[in-house]
Amino acid sequence: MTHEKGPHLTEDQLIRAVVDGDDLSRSLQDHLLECEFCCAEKERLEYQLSRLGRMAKSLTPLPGKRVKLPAETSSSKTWSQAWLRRSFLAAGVAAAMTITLMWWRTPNTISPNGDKAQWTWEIFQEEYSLPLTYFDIAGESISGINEEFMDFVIPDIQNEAIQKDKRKEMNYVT
Amino acid sequence: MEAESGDSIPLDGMSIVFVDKILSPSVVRSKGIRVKESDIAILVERARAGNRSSFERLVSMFQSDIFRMAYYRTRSRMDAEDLTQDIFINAFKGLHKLKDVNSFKPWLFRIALNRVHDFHRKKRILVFLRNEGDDDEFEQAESEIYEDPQSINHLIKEEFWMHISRFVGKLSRLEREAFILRFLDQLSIKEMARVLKKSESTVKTHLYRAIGKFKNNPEIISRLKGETP
Repeated sequence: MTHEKGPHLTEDQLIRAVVDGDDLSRSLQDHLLECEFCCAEKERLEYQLSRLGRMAKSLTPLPGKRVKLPAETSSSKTWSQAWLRRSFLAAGVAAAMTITLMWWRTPNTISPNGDKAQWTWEIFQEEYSLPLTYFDIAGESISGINEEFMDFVIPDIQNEAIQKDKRKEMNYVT
Repeated sequence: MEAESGDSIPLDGMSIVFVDKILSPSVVRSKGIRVKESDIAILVERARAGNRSSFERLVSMFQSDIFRMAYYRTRSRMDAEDLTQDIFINAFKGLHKLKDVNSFKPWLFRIALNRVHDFHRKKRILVFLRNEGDDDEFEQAESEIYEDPQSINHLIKEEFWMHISRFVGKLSRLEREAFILRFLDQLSIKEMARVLKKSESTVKTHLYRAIGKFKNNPEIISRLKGETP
């Protein structure tokens, strides 16, 4: 379909005219001014869009509540609140730092990364707190224990049983 | 209330003068009253300086617009009311962050849009955690409070919003935002660009696509003509 001022506007051009007429080229703007068909098409689309807006507005309820703004606070109150908040924050940070420091300073009884020998040595040191040189004097030495002496003090169960059997045997013979 | 050209209303010692009947870009329509943008800028300037009543004037000017904006996106009167309250509180607290006093309206709509997005995000999480039955009960109770579900008004309203929902559901996120901001919220291209933080040409591109889909949607077009498809 054409007009004496050139072909009619395409759908895209009509939409452009509705959004912003200045986006069209000068020749298309001139055509739109003179062509009744294109002008009517544009107005029809504009009407439909504005009717949509009007219908939406009319089918929307009115707000029932009034907007309430927060109560006014005096500047001194705000200032003291800010200081209170800062004090709490500072106290919290100090407490966290103290706990961290205490945890850091506490000696670990079992070193998570240490090897087994190191751990055994630490346990041994805790149990035998005397220096090694004093172990003999204190009778706590574990290095020079005489096995014969120990057998005499605490006889082996098996040895004792054998001796008992021998004693029984001797009595029987006599 | 529609003020005539030359009429004025008192405004904290000054007055808003109503200008031409044709809405020029420097005129904002609020609550059916046309207000000059420069007068809004003065109110914003005063509110920023700590004048509470100036902010209250701004609230009364934009409350309906913001409520409608929230309602279009939530379809719930209660949610829209809560959101409106929230939006103005945010605006009140963040007014000092507004750089250009002349762009109060797009700034307010930007806050509103962000709050509505937050609302939908939270709602999605709640719906995920809650049983669907609870949701239905709540919605039913809400509609009962405000309107008789059998009334013609209610049915017309339900049908209209159902068609709108169906149509905007076919649009991409930006097409949908552009379309609603332009034709339902009645914002200008310049204001939309500020709200969406996009260039004007980007906003227009999304609008072209959205209008194209609108034009080729016989269901909604016939609804606007008052016919059934």
